[in-house]
Amino acid sequence: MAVNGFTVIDTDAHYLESFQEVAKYMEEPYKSRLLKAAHRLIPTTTGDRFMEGRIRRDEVSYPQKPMTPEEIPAAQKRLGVDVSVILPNNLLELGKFPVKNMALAICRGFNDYMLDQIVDPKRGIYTMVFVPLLDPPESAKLIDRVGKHPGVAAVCFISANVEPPLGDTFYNPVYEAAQRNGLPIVYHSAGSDLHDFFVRGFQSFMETHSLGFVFWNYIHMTSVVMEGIPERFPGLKFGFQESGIFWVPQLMYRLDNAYMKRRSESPLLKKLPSEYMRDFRFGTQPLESPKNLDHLKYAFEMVDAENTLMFATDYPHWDFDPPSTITDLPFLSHKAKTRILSENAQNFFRF
Amino acid sequence: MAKHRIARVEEIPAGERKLVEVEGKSIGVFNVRGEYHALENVCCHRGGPVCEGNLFGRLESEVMPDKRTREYYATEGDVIACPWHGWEYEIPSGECLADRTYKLRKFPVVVEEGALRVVL
Ligand code: FES
Repeated sequence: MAVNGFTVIDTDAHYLESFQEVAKYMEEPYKSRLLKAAHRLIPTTTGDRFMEGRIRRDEVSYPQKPMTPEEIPAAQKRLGVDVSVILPNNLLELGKFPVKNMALAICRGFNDYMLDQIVDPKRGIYTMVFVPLLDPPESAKLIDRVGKHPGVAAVCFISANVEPPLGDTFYNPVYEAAQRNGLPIVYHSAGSDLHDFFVRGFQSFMETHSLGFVFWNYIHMTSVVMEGIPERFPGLKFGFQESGIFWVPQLMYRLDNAYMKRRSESPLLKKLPSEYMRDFRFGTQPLESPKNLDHLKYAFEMVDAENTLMFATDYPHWDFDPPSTITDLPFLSHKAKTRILSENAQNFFRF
Repeated sequence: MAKHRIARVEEIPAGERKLVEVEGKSIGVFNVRGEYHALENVCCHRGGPVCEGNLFGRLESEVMPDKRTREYYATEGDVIACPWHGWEYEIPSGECLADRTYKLRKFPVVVEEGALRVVL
Protein backbone atom coordinates (compact mmCIF):
# COMPACT_ATOMS: atom_id res chain seq x y z
CA MET A 1 0.00 0.00 0.00
CA ALA A 2 2.39 2.61 1.31
CA VAL A 3 2.01 6.40 1.29
CA ASN A 4 4.21 8.45 -1.08
CA GLY A 5 6.47 5.43 -1.37
CA PHE A 6 6.81 4.98 2.40
CA THR A 7 5.91 1.66 3.97
CA VAL A 8 3.64 2.42 6.91
CA ILE A 9 3.47 0.42 10.12
CA ASP A 10 0.65 1.51 12.37
CA THR A 11 1.80 0.64 15.88
CA ASP A 12 -1.54 1.36 17.53
CA ALA A 13 -4.86 0.65 15.85
CA HIS A 14 -8.12 -0.42 17.42
CA TYR A 15 -10.78 -2.95 16.75
CA LEU A 16 -14.24 -2.99 18.31
CA GLU A 17 -15.03 -6.61 19.03
CA SER A 18 -18.27 -8.41 19.65
CA PHE A 19 -18.75 -9.81 23.15
CA GLN A 20 -20.67 -12.71 21.63
CA GLU A 21 -17.60 -13.69 19.66
CA VAL A 22 -15.17 -13.20 22.54
CA ALA A 23 -17.39 -15.24 24.88
CA LYS A 24 -16.91 -18.28 22.66
CA TYR A 25 -13.33 -18.34 23.87
CA MET A 26 -14.17 -18.04 27.55
CA GLU A 27 -14.82 -20.61 30.25
CA GLU A 28 -17.81 -20.79 32.56
CA PRO A 29 -18.89 -19.16 34.77
CA TYR A 30 -17.18 -16.12 33.25
CA LYS A 31 -18.58 -16.74 29.81
CA SER A 32 -22.18 -16.38 30.99
CA ARG A 33 -21.29 -13.39 33.08
CA LEU A 34 -19.81 -11.63 30.10
CA LEU A 35 -22.72 -12.53 27.88
CA LYS A 36 -25.30 -11.38 30.38
CA ALA A 37 -23.61 -8.26 31.68
CA ALA A 38 -20.68 -7.25 29.49
CA HIS A 39 -21.27 -3.56 29.93
CA ARG A 40 -21.51 -3.82 33.67
CA LEU A 41 -18.39 -5.94 33.95
CA ILE A 42 -16.13 -4.32 31.43
CA PRO A 43 -15.85 -0.69 32.35
CA THR A 44 -16.40 1.91 29.70
CA THR A 45 -15.67 5.59 29.86
CA THR A 46 -17.91 8.61 30.06
CA GLY A 47 -17.72 11.64 27.84
CA ASP A 48 -19.09 12.05 24.31
CA ARG A 49 -16.10 11.36 22.10
CA PHE A 50 -18.10 12.17 18.98
CA MET A 51 -19.56 15.46 20.20
CA GLU A 52 -23.15 14.99 19.07
CA GLY A 53 -22.02 13.98 15.59
CA ARG A 54 -19.38 16.61 14.98
CA ILE A 55 -16.98 13.71 14.58
CA ARG A 56 -18.15 10.69 12.59
CA ARG A 57 -16.80 7.37 11.43
CA ASP A 58 -19.25 6.49 8.64
CA GLU A 59 -16.74 4.18 7.01
CA VAL A 60 -16.53 1.72 9.95
CA SER A 61 -19.00 0.08 12.32
CA TYR A 62 -17.20 1.62 15.31
CA PRO A 63 -18.44 3.11 17.57
CA GLN A 64 -22.04 1.97 17.06
CA LYS A 65 -21.53 -1.72 16.38
CA PRO A 66 -18.83 -4.35 16.68
CA MET A 67 -16.51 -4.39 13.69
CA THR A 68 -16.00 -7.37 11.42
CA PRO A 69 -12.52 -8.72 10.72
CA GLU A 70 -12.74 -7.56 7.09
CA GLU A 71 -12.95 -3.97 8.25
CA ILE A 72 -9.29 -4.07 9.26
CA PRO A 73 -7.77 -4.55 5.79
CA ALA A 74 -10.32 -2.04 4.45
CA ALA A 75 -9.15 0.55 6.98
CA GLN A 76 -5.51 -0.23 6.21
CA LYS A 77 -6.19 0.40 2.56
CA ARG A 78 -8.02 3.66 3.20
CA LEU A 79 -5.25 4.98 5.42
CA GLY A 80 -2.34 3.60 3.41
CA VAL A 81 -1.16 1.33 6.20
CA ASP A 82 0.82 -1.85 5.44
CA VAL A 83 1.08 -3.41 8.90
CA SER A 84 -1.12 -2.85 11.96
CA VAL A 85 -0.80 -3.74 15.61
CA ILE A 86 -4.33 -4.05 16.89
CA LEU A 87 -5.66 -3.51 20.38
CA PRO A 88 -9.24 -4.61 21.13
CA ASN A 89 -11.20 -1.55 22.10
CA ASN A 90 -13.17 -3.10 24.94
CA LEU A 91 -9.99 -3.81 26.88
CA LEU A 92 -8.90 -0.20 27.17
CA GLU A 93 -10.42 0.24 30.60
CA LEU A 94 -9.23 -3.11 31.92
CA GLY A 95 -7.20 -1.41 34.63
CA LYS A 96 -10.36 -0.29 36.35
CA PHE A 97 -11.67 -3.78 36.79
CA PRO A 98 -10.94 -5.16 40.25
CA VAL A 99 -12.01 -8.82 40.07
CA LYS A 100 -8.93 -10.94 39.41
CA ASN A 101 -10.52 -14.12 38.12
CA MET A 102 -12.84 -12.26 35.83
CA ALA A 103 -10.01 -10.04 34.56
CA LEU A 104 -8.00 -13.16 33.88
CA ALA A 105 -10.88 -14.89 32.09
CA ILE A 106 -11.48 -11.77 30.00
CA CYS A 107 -7.82 -11.50 29.01
CA ARG A 108 -7.63 -15.19 28.14
CA GLY A 109 -10.79 -14.92 26.07
CA PHE A 110 -9.73 -11.73 24.29
CA ASN A 111 -6.26 -13.07 23.50
CA ASP A 112 -7.58 -16.34 22.11
CA TYR A 113 -10.27 -14.55 20.15
CA MET A 114 -7.81 -12.08 18.64
CA LEU A 115 -5.39 -14.84 17.68
CA ASP A 116 -8.07 -17.09 16.26
CA GLN A 117 -10.22 -14.58 14.39
CA ILE A 118 -8.38 -11.31 13.87
CA VAL A 119 -4.63 -11.63 13.38
CA ASP A 120 -3.30 -12.45 9.96
CA PRO A 121 0.44 -11.89 9.74
CA LYS A 122 0.43 -12.50 5.97
CA ARG A 123 -1.77 -9.43 5.60
CA GLY A 124 0.15 -7.44 8.19
CA ILE A 125 -2.37 -7.78 11.01
CA TYR A 126 -0.87 -8.38 14.44
CA THR A 127 -1.94 -8.08 18.03
CA MET A 128 -0.25 -8.18 21.45
CA VAL A 129 -0.66 -10.31 24.58
CA PHE A 130 -2.99 -8.44 26.93
CA VAL A 131 -2.39 -9.29 30.55
CA PRO A 132 -4.41 -8.86 33.76
CA LEU A 133 -1.82 -6.83 35.65
CA LEU A 134 -3.48 -7.35 39.00
CA ASP A 135 -2.41 -10.99 38.76
CA PRO A 136 1.26 -11.14 37.70
CA PRO A 137 1.80 -14.93 38.01
CA GLU A 138 -1.24 -15.65 35.84
CA SER A 139 -0.19 -12.90 33.43
CA ALA A 140 3.13 -14.69 33.06
CA LYS A 141 1.41 -17.99 32.31
CA LEU A 142 -0.71 -16.31 29.69
CA ILE A 143 2.37 -14.87 27.99
CA ASP A 144 4.00 -18.31 28.02
CA ARG A 145 0.88 -19.87 26.55
CA VAL A 146 0.20 -17.48 23.65
CA GLY A 147 3.46 -15.54 23.35
CA LYS A 148 4.92 -17.74 20.63
CA HIS A 149 1.99 -17.25 18.27
CA PRO A 150 3.19 -15.58 15.04
CA GLY A 151 0.36 -13.04 15.31
CA VAL A 152 1.72 -11.72 18.62
CA ALA A 153 4.08 -8.76 18.23
CA ALA A 154 4.46 -7.61 21.86
CA VAL A 155 3.16 -7.81 25.40
CA CYS A 156 0.77 -4.95 26.08
CA PHE A 157 0.28 -3.36 29.47
CA ILE A 158 -2.99 -1.50 29.38
CA SER A 159 -1.66 1.00 31.82
CA ALA A 160 -4.46 3.35 32.81
CA ASN A 161 -5.66 2.92 36.39
CA VAL A 162 -2.98 0.34 37.10
CA GLU A 163 -1.54 0.41 40.62
CA PRO A 164 1.12 0.07 41.92
CA PRO A 165 3.03 1.82 39.15
CA LEU A 166 4.61 -0.47 36.62
CA GLY A 167 8.21 -0.30 37.85
CA ASP A 168 7.20 -2.16 41.01
CA THR A 169 8.76 -5.55 41.82
CA PHE A 170 5.16 -6.85 42.06
CA TYR A 171 5.25 -7.20 38.26
CA ASN A 172 8.53 -9.13 38.08
CA PRO A 173 6.89 -12.35 36.82
CA VAL A 174 5.28 -10.47 33.91
CA TYR A 175 8.50 -8.77 32.82
CA GLU A 176 10.36 -12.07 33.14
CA ALA A 177 7.82 -13.84 30.96
CA ALA A 178 8.01 -11.14 28.28
CA GLN A 179 11.80 -11.32 28.31
CA ARG A 180 11.74 -15.12 28.13
CA ASN A 181 9.43 -14.99 25.11
CA GLY A 182 11.46 -12.35 23.31
CA LEU A 183 8.59 -9.85 23.31
CA PRO A 184 8.83 -6.08 23.82
CA ILE A 185 6.57 -4.29 26.28
CA VAL A 186 4.04 -1.72 25.07
CA TYR A 187 2.57 0.57 27.72
CA HIS A 188 -0.78 1.62 26.33
CA SER A 189 -2.22 4.59 28.15
CA ALA A 190 -5.85 5.65 28.49
CA GLY A 191 -7.72 7.11 31.41
CA SER A 192 -9.89 9.80 30.08
CA ASP A 193 -13.08 9.49 32.04
CA LEU A 194 -15.09 12.52 32.76
CA HIS A 195 -16.65 11.15 35.94
CA ASP A 196 -13.82 9.31 37.66
CA PHE A 197 -10.57 10.92 36.67
CA PHE A 198 -8.01 11.24 39.54
CA VAL A 199 -9.55 14.56 40.33
CA ARG A 200 -13.32 14.76 40.09
CA GLY A 201 -15.12 17.76 38.84
CA PHE A 202 -13.64 18.45 35.44
CA GLN A 203 -16.41 19.74 33.20
CA SER A 204 -15.46 18.65 29.71
CA PHE A 205 -14.19 15.50 28.10
CA MET A 206 -11.25 17.27 26.52
CA GLU A 207 -9.97 18.30 29.93
CA THR A 208 -9.76 14.77 31.31
CA HIS A 209 -8.82 13.24 27.99
CA SER A 210 -5.92 15.63 27.48
CA LEU A 211 -4.60 14.90 30.94
CA GLY A 212 -5.43 11.24 31.42
CA PHE A 213 -3.25 9.74 28.74
CA VAL A 214 -0.21 11.75 29.60
CA PHE A 215 -0.68 11.32 33.36
CA TRP A 216 -0.61 7.54 33.15
CA ASN A 217 2.41 7.70 30.91
CA TYR A 218 4.16 10.05 33.35
CA ILE A 219 3.30 7.73 36.21
CA HIS A 220 4.50 4.50 34.68
CA MET A 221 7.49 5.97 32.87
CA THR A 222 8.73 7.51 36.10
CA SER A 223 8.35 4.23 37.92
CA VAL A 224 9.84 2.07 35.15
CA VAL A 225 12.92 4.27 34.81
CA MET A 226 13.56 5.17 38.45
CA GLU A 227 12.92 1.64 39.74
CA GLY A 228 15.42 0.42 37.18
CA ILE A 229 13.30 -1.94 35.07
CA PRO A 230 15.81 -1.66 32.19
CA GLU A 231 18.60 -2.70 34.60
CA ARG A 232 16.55 -5.54 36.04
CA PHE A 233 15.39 -6.82 32.64
CA PRO A 234 18.16 -5.90 30.24
CA GLY A 235 16.74 -8.07 27.48
CA LEU A 236 13.51 -6.08 27.22
CA LYS A 237 12.46 -3.29 24.89
CA PHE A 238 9.93 -0.67 26.00
CA GLY A 239 7.44 1.45 24.07
CA PHE A 240 4.93 4.04 25.28
CA GLN A 241 1.77 4.89 23.35
CA GLU A 242 -0.82 7.63 23.01
CA SER A 243 0.49 10.90 24.38
CA GLY A 244 2.12 12.68 21.46
CA ILE A 245 5.77 13.54 22.02
CA PHE A 246 6.15 16.74 24.04
CA TRP A 247 5.65 14.93 27.34
CA VAL A 248 8.85 12.99 26.72
CA PRO A 249 11.44 15.78 26.90
CA GLN A 250 9.59 17.37 29.79
CA LEU A 251 9.86 14.20 31.85
CA MET A 252 13.41 13.45 30.69
CA TYR A 253 14.77 16.72 31.98
CA ARG A 254 12.63 16.75 35.07
CA LEU A 255 13.81 13.31 36.14
CA ASP A 256 17.43 14.14 35.27
CA ASN A 257 17.22 17.21 37.41
CA ALA A 258 15.92 15.27 40.40
CA TYR A 259 18.33 12.38 39.88
CA MET A 260 21.36 14.70 39.90
CA LYS A 261 20.31 15.86 43.36
CA ARG A 262 19.01 12.56 44.74
CA ARG A 263 21.07 9.77 43.17
CA SER A 264 21.05 7.88 46.48
CA GLU A 265 17.34 7.14 46.01
CA SER A 266 18.01 5.26 42.75
CA PRO A 267 21.46 3.71 43.10
CA LEU A 268 20.56 0.98 40.63
CA LEU A 269 20.64 3.45 37.74
CA LYS A 270 23.80 3.46 35.66
CA LYS A 271 23.00 6.52 33.61
CA LEU A 272 20.68 9.50 33.53
CA PRO A 273 16.93 8.88 33.38
CA SER A 274 16.84 10.67 30.02
CA GLU A 275 19.40 8.23 28.66
CA TYR A 276 17.19 5.30 29.56
CA MET A 277 14.26 7.08 27.98
CA ARG A 278 16.16 7.58 24.73
CA ASP A 279 16.45 3.79 24.54
CA PHE A 280 12.66 3.53 24.65
CA ARG A 281 10.22 3.97 21.79
CA PHE A 282 7.30 6.36 21.61
CA GLY A 283 4.12 6.20 19.56
CA THR A 284 3.59 9.49 17.72
CA GLN A 285 -0.17 9.84 18.10
CA PRO A 286 -1.73 12.29 18.78
CA LEU A 287 1.14 14.32 17.40
CA GLU A 288 1.09 17.93 18.54
CA SER A 289 0.79 20.46 15.74
CA PRO A 290 2.17 23.82 16.82
CA LYS A 291 1.77 26.53 14.21
CA ASN A 292 5.44 27.32 14.48
CA LEU A 293 6.89 24.13 13.07
CA ASP A 294 10.29 24.91 14.57
CA HIS A 295 8.84 24.03 17.93
CA LEU A 296 7.91 20.58 16.67
CA LYS A 297 11.29 20.23 15.02
CA TYR A 298 13.06 20.89 18.33
CA ALA A 299 10.83 18.41 20.13
CA PHE A 300 11.78 15.82 17.50
CA GLU A 301 15.42 16.65 18.17
CA MET A 302 15.02 16.40 21.94
CA VAL A 303 13.54 12.91 21.76
CA ASP A 304 15.97 11.73 19.07
CA ALA A 305 12.96 11.15 16.84
CA GLU A 306 14.75 9.30 14.10
CA ASN A 307 15.61 6.53 16.53
CA THR A 308 12.76 6.61 19.02
CA LEU A 309 9.46 7.46 17.31
CA MET A 310 7.07 4.90 15.89
CA PHE A 311 4.12 6.10 13.86
CA ALA A 312 0.65 5.24 15.20
CA THR A 313 -2.80 6.16 13.91
CA ASP A 314 -5.00 5.17 16.85
CA TYR A 315 -7.68 4.75 14.17
CA PRO A 316 -10.67 4.73 14.38
CA HIS A 317 -10.59 6.83 17.54
CA TRP A 318 -11.75 10.44 17.48
CA ASP A 319 -8.21 11.83 17.56
CA PHE A 320 -6.52 9.51 15.03
CA ASP A 321 -3.53 10.59 12.95
CA PRO A 322 -3.25 9.70 9.25
CA PRO A 323 0.23 8.90 7.83
CA SER A 324 0.39 12.42 6.33
CA THR A 325 0.97 13.59 9.91
CA ILE A 326 4.54 12.37 9.36
CA THR A 327 4.97 12.38 5.58
CA ASP A 328 4.02 16.09 5.41
CA LEU A 329 6.60 17.27 7.95
CA PRO A 330 8.97 19.56 6.04
CA PHE A 331 11.88 19.34 8.49
CA LEU A 332 12.24 15.54 8.40
CA SER A 333 14.64 13.86 6.01
CA HIS A 334 13.46 10.98 3.85
CA LYS A 335 15.50 8.67 6.02
CA ALA A 336 13.93 9.99 9.24
CA LYS A 337 10.43 9.52 7.80
CA THR A 338 11.28 5.98 6.78
CA ARG A 339 12.51 5.22 10.28
CA ILE A 340 9.47 6.72 11.99
CA LEU A 341 6.92 5.25 9.60
CA SER A 342 8.28 1.70 9.58
CA GLU A 343 11.87 0.84 10.47
CA ASN A 344 11.77 1.70 14.15
CA ALA A 345 8.64 -0.41 14.57
CA GLN A 346 10.17 -3.18 12.51
CA ASN A 347 13.11 -3.30 14.92
CA PHE A 348 10.95 -3.01 18.01
CA PHE A 349 8.07 -5.41 17.55
CA ARG A 350 8.37 -9.10 16.92
CA PHE A 351 6.79 -9.35 13.47
CA MET B 1 -11.26 31.73 -14.25
CA ALA B 2 -14.33 29.99 -15.51
CA LYS B 3 -17.86 29.50 -14.33
CA HIS B 4 -18.84 25.91 -13.79
CA ARG B 5 -22.47 24.96 -13.66
CA ILE B 6 -22.93 22.66 -10.70
CA ALA B 7 -26.65 22.48 -9.94
CA ARG B 8 -30.07 23.90 -10.54
CA VAL B 9 -31.10 26.34 -7.81
CA GLU B 10 -33.85 24.00 -6.51
CA GLU B 11 -31.35 21.21 -6.03
CA ILE B 12 -29.86 22.88 -2.96
CA PRO B 13 -32.63 24.22 -0.71
CA ALA B 14 -31.82 26.18 2.44
CA GLY B 15 -29.99 24.02 4.98
CA GLU B 16 -28.76 21.60 2.30
CA ARG B 17 -25.54 21.10 0.42
CA LYS B 18 -24.19 19.42 -2.65
CA LEU B 19 -20.72 17.96 -3.08
CA VAL B 20 -19.32 18.48 -6.57
CA GLU B 21 -16.11 17.88 -8.47
CA VAL B 22 -14.80 20.87 -10.39
CA GLU B 23 -11.46 20.81 -12.16
CA GLY B 24 -10.39 17.87 -10.03
CA LYS B 25 -11.32 19.62 -6.78
CA SER B 26 -13.92 18.36 -4.37
CA ILE B 27 -16.13 21.28 -3.39
CA GLY B 28 -19.10 21.60 -1.05
CA VAL B 29 -21.79 24.04 -2.11
CA PHE B 30 -24.01 25.09 0.79
CA ASN B 31 -27.24 27.00 1.00
CA VAL B 32 -27.30 28.83 4.32
CA ARG B 33 -30.60 30.73 4.63
CA GLY B 34 -30.76 31.44 0.91
CA GLU B 35 -27.11 32.35 0.45
CA TYR B 36 -24.80 30.04 -1.42
CA HIS B 37 -21.25 29.29 -0.34
CA ALA B 38 -18.70 27.04 -2.00
CA LEU B 39 -15.89 25.65 0.12
CA GLU B 40 -13.10 23.31 -0.81
CA ASN B 41 -13.61 19.90 0.78
CA VAL B 42 -10.14 19.85 2.35
CA CYS B 43 -9.82 20.47 6.07
CA CYS B 44 -7.02 22.74 7.28
CA HIS B 45 -6.14 20.22 9.94
CA ARG B 46 -5.20 16.98 8.18
CA GLY B 47 -7.03 17.33 4.90
CA GLY B 48 -10.21 15.57 6.00
CA PRO B 49 -13.49 15.75 4.02
CA VAL B 50 -14.82 18.70 5.97
CA CYS B 51 -17.76 19.42 3.63
CA GLU B 52 -19.24 16.02 4.43
CA GLY B 53 -19.62 16.96 8.09
CA ASN B 54 -22.75 17.63 10.08
CA LEU B 55 -24.16 21.13 10.46
CA PHE B 56 -24.48 22.92 13.77
CA GLY B 57 -25.02 26.40 15.09
CA ARG B 58 -22.24 28.51 16.54
CA LEU B 59 -22.14 27.67 20.22
CA GLU B 60 -21.20 30.57 22.47
CA SER B 61 -20.98 31.13 26.17
CA GLU B 62 -21.52 34.33 28.07
CA VAL B 63 -20.48 35.33 31.55
CA MET B 64 -23.55 36.28 33.57
CA PRO B 65 -23.67 39.04 36.22
CA ASP B 66 -23.20 36.39 38.92
CA LYS B 67 -20.09 35.13 37.03
CA ARG B 68 -21.70 31.85 36.10
CA THR B 69 -21.77 31.07 32.42
CA ARG B 70 -24.62 30.49 30.04
CA GLU B 71 -24.12 28.53 26.84
CA TYR B 72 -26.32 29.21 23.85
CA TYR B 73 -26.43 28.78 20.11
CA ALA B 74 -25.77 32.17 18.56
CA THR B 75 -26.59 30.93 15.08
CA GLU B 76 -28.22 27.95 13.48
CA GLY B 77 -26.96 25.65 10.77
CA ASP B 78 -24.06 27.76 9.54
CA VAL B 79 -21.23 25.81 11.13
CA ILE B 80 -19.81 22.62 9.70
CA ALA B 81 -17.76 20.14 11.70
CA CYS B 82 -15.08 18.08 9.97
CA PRO B 83 -15.94 14.42 10.54
CA TRP B 84 -12.32 13.39 11.06
CA HIS B 85 -11.58 15.28 14.28
CA GLY B 86 -14.29 17.86 14.73
CA TRP B 87 -12.67 21.15 13.66
CA GLU B 88 -15.61 23.54 13.24
CA TYR B 89 -15.86 26.12 10.46
CA GLU B 90 -18.27 28.96 9.87
CA ILE B 91 -19.62 28.34 6.37
CA PRO B 92 -20.09 31.98 5.23
CA SER B 93 -16.51 32.96 6.07
CA GLY B 94 -14.85 29.54 5.86
CA GLU B 95 -13.08 30.37 9.12
CA CYS B 96 -12.29 27.89 11.84
CA LEU B 97 -14.14 28.85 15.03
CA ALA B 98 -11.34 27.79 17.35
CA ASP B 99 -8.71 29.80 15.48
CA ARG B 100 -9.88 32.12 12.73
CA THR B 101 -6.47 32.27 11.10
CA TYR B 102 -7.34 28.84 9.67
CA LYS B 103 -9.66 29.27 6.71
CA LEU B 104 -11.15 26.87 4.20
CA ARG B 105 -10.62 27.84 0.59
CA LYS B 106 -13.74 29.63 -0.71
CA PHE B 107 -14.99 30.04 -4.25
CA PRO B 108 -17.55 32.54 -5.51
CA VAL B 109 -20.98 31.20 -6.42
CA VAL B 110 -23.20 32.96 -8.94
CA VAL B 111 -26.83 32.34 -9.81
CA GLU B 112 -27.61 32.60 -13.49
CA GLU B 113 -30.79 31.54 -15.23
CA GLY B 114 -31.82 29.29 -12.37
CA ALA B 115 -28.46 27.56 -12.24
CA LEU B 116 -25.68 27.72 -9.64
CA ARG B 117 -22.19 28.27 -10.98
CA VAL B 118 -18.95 28.08 -9.08
CA VAL B 119 -16.16 30.33 -10.24
CA LEU B 120 -12.63 28.99 -10.29
S1 FES C 1 -8.86 16.65 9.22
FE1 FES C 1 -10.53 17.91 9.66
S2 FES C 1 -10.57 17.98 11.79
FE2 FES C 1 -8.81 16.78 11.36
